Amino acid sequence: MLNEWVEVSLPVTTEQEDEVAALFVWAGAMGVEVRDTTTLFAEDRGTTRVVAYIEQGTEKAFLERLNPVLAASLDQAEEELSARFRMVPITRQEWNEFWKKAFDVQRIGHFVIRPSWKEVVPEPGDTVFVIDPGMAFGTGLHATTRLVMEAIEQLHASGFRPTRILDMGAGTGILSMAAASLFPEARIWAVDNDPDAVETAAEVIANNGLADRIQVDLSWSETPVDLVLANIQRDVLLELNPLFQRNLEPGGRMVFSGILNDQIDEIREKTNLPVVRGWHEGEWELVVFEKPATGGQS
Amino acid sequence: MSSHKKYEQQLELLKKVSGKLYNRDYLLTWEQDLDTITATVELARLLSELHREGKDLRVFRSGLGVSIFRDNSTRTRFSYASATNMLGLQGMDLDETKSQIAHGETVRETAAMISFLTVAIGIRDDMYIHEGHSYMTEVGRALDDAYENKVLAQRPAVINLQCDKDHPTQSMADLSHLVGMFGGLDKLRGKRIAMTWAYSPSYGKPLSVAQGIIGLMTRFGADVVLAHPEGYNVMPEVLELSGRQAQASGGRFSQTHSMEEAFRDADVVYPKSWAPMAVMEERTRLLRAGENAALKDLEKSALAENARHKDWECNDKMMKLTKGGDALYMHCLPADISNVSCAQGEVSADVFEKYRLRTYHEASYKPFVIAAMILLTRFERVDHVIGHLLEKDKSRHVK
Repeated sequence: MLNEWVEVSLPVTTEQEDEVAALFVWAGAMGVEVRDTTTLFAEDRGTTRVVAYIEQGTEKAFLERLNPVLAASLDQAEEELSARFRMVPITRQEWNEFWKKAFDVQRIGHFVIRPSWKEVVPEPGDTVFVIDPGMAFGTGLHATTRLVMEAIEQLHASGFRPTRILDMGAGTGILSMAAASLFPEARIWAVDNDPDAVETAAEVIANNGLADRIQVDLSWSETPVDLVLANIQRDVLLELNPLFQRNLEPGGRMVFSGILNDQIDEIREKTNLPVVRGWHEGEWELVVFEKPATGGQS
Repeated sequence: MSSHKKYEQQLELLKKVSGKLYNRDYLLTWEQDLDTITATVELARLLSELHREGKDLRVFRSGLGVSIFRDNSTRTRFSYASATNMLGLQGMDLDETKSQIAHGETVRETAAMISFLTVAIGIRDDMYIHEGHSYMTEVGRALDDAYENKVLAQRPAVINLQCDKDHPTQSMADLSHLVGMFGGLDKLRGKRIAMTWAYSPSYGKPLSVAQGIIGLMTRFGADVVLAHPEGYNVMPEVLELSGRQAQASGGRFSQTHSMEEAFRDADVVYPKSWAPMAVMEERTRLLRAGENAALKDLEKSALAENARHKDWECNDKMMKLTKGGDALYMHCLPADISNVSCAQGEVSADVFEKYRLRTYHEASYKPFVIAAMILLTRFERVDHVIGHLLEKDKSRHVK
């Protein structure tokens, strides 16, 4: 029957996940996801699982194509590998419910993110955003995004009041929206070099009534800012660091996220600005830098 | 070796901070510069040593050491009484319910009225968030006013015996203990110190121990981690200053929502329950309004929330994550010990038992920390005072 699906999955080590996911796609998977303790469909601690969704009836062909290449790539016997696959059929109805259930209301501090089909009764002080999974919201908020949202909430609580904010690598625009709600006086630039992300962010931001507060763009004309939010990754953070520092006002702050545990020392060292806050969650680190109000180390 | 020679370094340190705290109060550790903090710790350790040697440490022939406890206390109450007694002061507890305060006497007036022959006023006020520290500074201002206008012949020192922000006599006792365990303040550099929330079957525990620890331990180049479940936030201003201090000292300060992460490779762990700041704020509002039914509801919901985090227990499994599986466990006491003082609590019985005596040693510094604070606030030249005691070399016992 058409449009009935099978979830095919394999437990892997973290080193193997990218390679296995790529081979799943190569072998014909319609969608692939990597699950671990931090994802919405969480695995047990220490387990990472690559999951492929394929149409029912095609799973045999999928495995026949995949298995020899994967076995060679992982340096394992084919029979041994076959035994480790898990196959779970999913009907169409289940699929819809499955996703709706998956995209439940999420809360980070006072931010509540709900899909459009789910109502919430906000608690005092809550800010509610509506984001649907169709708007490229992935499987829930990534740890690195959650860390930034906590960090900006704490910056706000400690009395920091930026007036010009750059959200670089804005993705869905969620961080810009959080900043817009916390800092009502601030002007915000949400920048991403991915045109799809820019389109999505613009739509999400407009749907949440924040289009007049946040300017979404593919590029950024340098302008002084007093808060930089950069939830990207090590290489890009280091590459953009001079650009950020050049435009950061004295007393301004930079929130860097998307950093792995073993990269944090290098990021701190190469950024060479005073660190005023750090957060970590699992393998992820966040760091908040401050440009000294007078003079400067950079 | 003469006593002077033996304690040359400490006397030098005391000389360096001469007069810095004279006629002032000891309220928050982060208000003091690093020399003053170091001098306080070294003086406390010196007093402890001299006391152990049986020395007479009375430096006052008269005067009151007043205490005002606006919340329950065992350790701090006895520590304060011991400290004032050791220095020669007469302890005097002000029971606000039995005083004219209940009849509307102002803080300004009370502060002056209890201070004519008073040397120090120890205050515990941690019940109401955003109020304890303000109350202490108000008392301090009233004392300044009375002293400057010659109502008082001396300016008594206010000693913070725990407020909503800080618990300096605790954190400084903890620091003195760490100095003893690791062999010096400089040895804290690079040490990973984990201040973590822990599950407790009670609610409304103050935030000031956790805040006191991060606000103090971030000053010595250590890698300080604060861990708590989501929502159990402490005061943002203390987070902010902890981050700045860590940066200035060449250390680190970070936060996480995982007890395991905080424990991993830690040299020191301090698992201790506290209430979320938001709960304390609501509790303060309800206490003030006398809304007892709502208070009961708040307690119920706070306990239910606590119960979601029963896995935040310092047990053998957690301790195995620490450096060499053998981090130093610390607690301000009393700890909620699983299967001993409660069904399940902050620490398992076996872990607590292993460190029990060390936590007693940790607590034993508190009287001497309080005494050090009184000396530093009441004498311009504490080095001379200690020098005099060493010279006199008098025993407090009949020989």
